[in-house]
Amino acid sequence: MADIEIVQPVEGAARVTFDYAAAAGALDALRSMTSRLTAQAEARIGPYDDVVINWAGRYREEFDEAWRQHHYGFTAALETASARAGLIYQAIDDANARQRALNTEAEELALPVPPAR
Amino acid sequence: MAEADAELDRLARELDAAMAAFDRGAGELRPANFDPGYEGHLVRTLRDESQYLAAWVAQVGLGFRIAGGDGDGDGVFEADDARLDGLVGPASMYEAMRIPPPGTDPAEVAHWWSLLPREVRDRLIEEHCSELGQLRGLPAEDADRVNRLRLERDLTNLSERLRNVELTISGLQHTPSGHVDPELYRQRDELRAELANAQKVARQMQDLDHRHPPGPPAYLLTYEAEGNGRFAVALGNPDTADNTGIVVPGTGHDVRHEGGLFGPVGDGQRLYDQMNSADPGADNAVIVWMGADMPDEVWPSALNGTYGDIEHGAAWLRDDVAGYRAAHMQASGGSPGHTTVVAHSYGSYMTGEALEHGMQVDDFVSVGSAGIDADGPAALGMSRDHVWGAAAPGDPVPDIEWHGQDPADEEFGGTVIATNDSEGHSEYYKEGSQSLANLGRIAVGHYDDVELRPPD
Repeated sequence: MADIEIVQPVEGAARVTFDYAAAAGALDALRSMTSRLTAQAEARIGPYDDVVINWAGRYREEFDEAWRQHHYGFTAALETASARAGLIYQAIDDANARQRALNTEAEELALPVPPAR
Repeated sequence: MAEADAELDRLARELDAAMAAFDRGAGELRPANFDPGYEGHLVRTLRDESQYLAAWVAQVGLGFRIAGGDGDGDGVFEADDARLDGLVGPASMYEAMRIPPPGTDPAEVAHWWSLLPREVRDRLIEEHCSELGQLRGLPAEDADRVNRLRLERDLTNLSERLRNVELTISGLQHTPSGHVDPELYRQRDELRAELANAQKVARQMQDLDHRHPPGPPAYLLTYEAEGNGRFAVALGNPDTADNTGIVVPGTGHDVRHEGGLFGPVGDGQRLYDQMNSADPGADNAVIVWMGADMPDEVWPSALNGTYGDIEHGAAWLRDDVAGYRAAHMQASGGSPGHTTVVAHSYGSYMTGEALEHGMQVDDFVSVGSAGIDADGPAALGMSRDHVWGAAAPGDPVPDIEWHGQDPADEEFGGTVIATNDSEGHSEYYKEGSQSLANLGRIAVGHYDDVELRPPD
């Protein structure tokens, strides 16, 4: 499970509407996406050794270009995973900020009312 | 590679589930424009690209071997690239998926499609059936999938759009002024007509799919709901058939007309059965073509020549037939098969126009012709023994010759077939008739068996 900060509600405070477990699950999935796509990209060149070694001419050039584009697709997907993780972390931060605000509000309400002069 | 692709599939599903859970649980803190399906889609795209590239590499590898690329036997395939052209498509999936524009030569379309791996074709059909529906030259099986999908989507979309327009009109009618923009009424009427066209085609296909006893498979080759609608159905697979008969009906037979489809489809079924009787060993198919706006009725519509859309109709017929031929040639190693157009009444006039503008068929049979605007078979680009005419006793239409000469008139210079036991304008496809037997014989190329009308 992704290690994320979770601000708990204090006594008397409302709980922010945010599923921290689902957010952590999404981060785990993105981390898994990164590692598995990296492994896939590395493994996929193997079957094409024959092409790289034994082809000559225009079709070899076409393959090289297509493979480069395809590999670029893997790289772009990894970058996307990272950017999307950033969005989720931001949502977690926002949830925590809101919970802190709710906590502060509850704590202020719980303070004893100063006696009237 | 299959296991690696399955791994990407699993990853995509896991991402879909995790992102959807986050999306549901984030409440108001959901990031703006967050698409929970985005990662899964990316991974599936990578899987598809990988599959495509693997299939392409296999194709090229096969091509190298076919082209005998390793001439000096050193294991390096220095094939003459030009010899591989035509055997393989582009290496990039995106380039391969670029759909040719409408109007592209059907042979080019057929070739482009043949080079795509099955997975890519499936994806294109699912995601781009509207664009594919504008092309000619797709194989009958795929054209059928494309058009049935378009039909299904039309039935839903047109119903929804019609309902919205009707609600808007009703709402406006209940305002104090009660004013409704006439444009809304026009839209409503147009949508009603289009929906009715789609429903008629759907009913016809359902009828063909569930007939008892079952007939040959039916392929929806052409479908448009707009305007008067366009429809062509094949009985049997025309791509692999040795002989294909194309039935072109006449006045009153287009999608828009009530009952416009069922008569010609019945004629097509009888011709199909007759072709099988004439040559049981051959693979036969019939295409029933109703791809044009036909005149509403003989009198006065067809007679005054202003009804029906002969120009577009003839061009569409020519182009559709070119598409069927291209698909056949692609599927059958370059052979176009034997194609016969059997055209009735006003349909023979339209077919004559299509032939004069370059339509290619092996035989043309005109039955109960409304006249052809041509001086004879040569003007149609055909020889006299491949242009056939029939005029049944008591059929008044061929005598009028209002669009030109009747091919059943000996002066036209074609070959006139006997139709002794048919009567009037509508019995050329009558079960058990001499006329239908002759149509079947011509359509399978058994010319010597055709019974001719004795010369006057």
